[in-house]
Amino acid sequence: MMALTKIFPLVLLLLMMPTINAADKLHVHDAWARETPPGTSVMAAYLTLQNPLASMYTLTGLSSPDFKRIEMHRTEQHDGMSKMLAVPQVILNGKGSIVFRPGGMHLMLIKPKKRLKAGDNITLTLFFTDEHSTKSSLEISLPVKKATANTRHTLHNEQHDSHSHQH
Amino acid sequence: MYCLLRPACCRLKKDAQYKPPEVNYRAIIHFMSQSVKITLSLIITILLIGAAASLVQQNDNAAPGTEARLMKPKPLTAFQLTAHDLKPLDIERLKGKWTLLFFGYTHCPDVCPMTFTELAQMARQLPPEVLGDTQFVLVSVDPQRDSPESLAEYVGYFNESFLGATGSIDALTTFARQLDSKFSLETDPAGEPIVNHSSAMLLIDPQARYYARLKAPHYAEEILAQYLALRNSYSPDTP
Repeated sequence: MMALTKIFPLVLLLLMMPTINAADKLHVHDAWARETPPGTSVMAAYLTLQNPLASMYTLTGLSSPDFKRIEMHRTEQHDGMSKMLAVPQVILNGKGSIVFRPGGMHLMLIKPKKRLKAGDNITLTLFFTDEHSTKSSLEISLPVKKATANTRHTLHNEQHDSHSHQH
Repeated sequence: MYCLLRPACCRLKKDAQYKPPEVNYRAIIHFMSQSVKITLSLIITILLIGAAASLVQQNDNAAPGTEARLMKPKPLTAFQLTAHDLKPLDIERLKGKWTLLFFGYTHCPDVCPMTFTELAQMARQLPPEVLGDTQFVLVSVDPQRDSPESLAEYVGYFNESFLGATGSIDALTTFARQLDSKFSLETDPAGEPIVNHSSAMLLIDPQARYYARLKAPHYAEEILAQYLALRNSYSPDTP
C-alpha cells in the first residue's frame, strides 16, 4: 500500500506527459477528408485546430503534395442559396480553436494527383504566422473516409469530443 | 441698412395679417372615419394572419413536413433535361412516381455529397413499397463540366437507382424557376467556376406537380419523416 502511494504521483506525472506535450503547441484533431465519387476534381477535408497557447496565430494557407492547391472555404446559406466563399486566412485566437466541419468552414482540396479512396492518407502542411509575423508550419496526416449519414450527430459528437487527440 | 431691414419688416407685417384658412371639419371627420376603417381592417387582417399562422403551427406539431407542403400543388409545365442514361427527363418521367429533387453539381465538395449521403441513407430506410415509387434526382446546374456520363458516375456512387440530369442553361433556368429555385454561375479570381444553387429539396407528386419544399440542411431521418408524413396526408384530388 505504501509502495502504491509512493509511485502514485509518478504514475500521475506519466499520465500527464502526453497532455503536457500537446498543450505547448498548436495541434489538430478529428481530421478527415471526404471520399468523393469518381470523376470529381475537388474533395473537402475537415479538422479541429487547437491553440493551447496564449498568443494569437493566423492560419495563412495550406499545401499538400497530393493536391494541386488547397483553399479554405465557408459554405453559407444566403437567400435560400448555398454559396461557397473563399476564406483567405483564419485567425486562431490565444487558447482558441477553429473547427472546419461539414456545411461550415472546410478545406477544399483541389485537383488530386490521383483518385483517393477511403483508407488512403493525405499529407497536409498548415502555414501560420504569429503576432510578430514569425512563420511556422505544422505537418499532419489525415485519413480519407467514406462519410456516413446523420452528419448532424457526428458533428454533435465532434464538438463534445475535443479531447481525443489523434495527431 | 434700412434697405436690408425693410423687406423683413414688411414680411413681419404680412405675417401679422395672416389668417388661418377656414378648416373644413366635415372633410377631417370624413378623413378620420376613413383612417379608422383602414386601421380596423388592418387589425382584422393581422389577427386573421395570426390565427392562420397558429393553425399552421398546430399542423406542424401533428405531422412533420406539413409546413413544407405548398398551399396549392403547382402543376409543372413542359421542360426537357437529359438524364444520365441519355433518355430525356421530362414531365412524363415524373408522372406516376414521387420525386425528390436537388439542384447541385458534381464538383461541389461539401454540401452536395453531404446531401446525397443523407439521401442515400434515407432511401435505405424507406419501406420497399415506398421506395418502389420514389425517384431521387440530382439536377446539375453546371452543364459545362457535368456531362451525363460524369453524372452517372456521381449519382451511382451514392445509390445505383439515383438519377442525374442536366440540360442547357436556358432549360435549367426555366425548370428551376418552376420549382422556385435558382442558381448562378460565376468565376473566382483564380478563374475557377463558382456555382451557387438553391439548397432546398423539392418534392414533386406523382401528377408531376411541385408539391413540397424541404429546407436545408438535409438529414436522413428528417427527410424520411417529412416525406412519409407528406405521402400519408396526400390526396391525389387536392386541387
